[in-house]
Amino acid sequence: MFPGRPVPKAKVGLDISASEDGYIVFQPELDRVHFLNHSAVLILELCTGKNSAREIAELVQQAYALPDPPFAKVDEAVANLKELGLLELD
Amino acid sequence: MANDESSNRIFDQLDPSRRDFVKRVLAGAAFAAPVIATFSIESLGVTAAYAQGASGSSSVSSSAPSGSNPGASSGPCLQDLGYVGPERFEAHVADTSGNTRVNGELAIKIDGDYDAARSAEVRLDMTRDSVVTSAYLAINGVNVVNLPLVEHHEADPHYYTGKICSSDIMNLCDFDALLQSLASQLVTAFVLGTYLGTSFSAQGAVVPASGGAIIQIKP
Repeated sequence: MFPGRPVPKAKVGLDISASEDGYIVFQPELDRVHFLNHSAVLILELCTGKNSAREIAELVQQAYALPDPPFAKVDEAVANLKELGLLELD
Repeated sequence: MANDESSNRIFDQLDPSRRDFVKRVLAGAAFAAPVIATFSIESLGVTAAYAQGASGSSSVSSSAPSGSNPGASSGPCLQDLGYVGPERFEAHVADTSGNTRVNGELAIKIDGDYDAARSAEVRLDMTRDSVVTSAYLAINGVNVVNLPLVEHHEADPHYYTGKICSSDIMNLCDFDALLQSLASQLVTAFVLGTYLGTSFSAQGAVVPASGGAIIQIKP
């Protein structure tokens, strides 16, 4: 991890339920519920506050044995998670 | 899934209480673009009382809109009487955001043994250089199934393939309800992505494919 690089972190206390093929995350205060598929689950779980988005992409690459890290898809997913309030703000 | 060393490096970082679940979800799964489908609890609360197939999402990224309940699930689920209707459906999708002129063609074919078919093959061909990050079918603006598409880079134009099955259905009673909604032309296809770095949002009505067969699926 490089100093100063944003490291996404999942919000503490998210109301997460496991479904057959992903997560269901409730945000009752916002009247919202989110369905995350398996790759979004992994990305959310890797948002530990220690991995940059780039590092998460590299871990996703390893997890799925991909030829290349899916940087763009992870960046977008992290941005979406943040926009939806599932990640801590920087 | 990756080898043990890589797996350990990944799973050791996860919340211990959810580690086993994440392992199970990922086991044997091929990478699909991340999907985060968002709904209002209020809209799901009405639907959930009679939705039988709401099992989360399974495909490509981004947020599906929340909104009113799909017409097909606006009442309790009645007894499934099977499906009689077209075997194939198609949609021409085009960017309505005004950002690009990306367009493409979505094809859906019900597959398998028609006595028990509860899945469909999906193919999406998009403008060259476009990258699809999310695709789903919606009724009245409500996501009813994410399309778990896998990209095939070697072709021009890019095309994506995937398969939807009963467990992918959301906010509808069952897979047959999706088929009936498709046959009744209630479904709109949404495809989100980027074209050379510019985001696009393409959509189009799903209609029965011309010249397709009529099939019968038993309950």
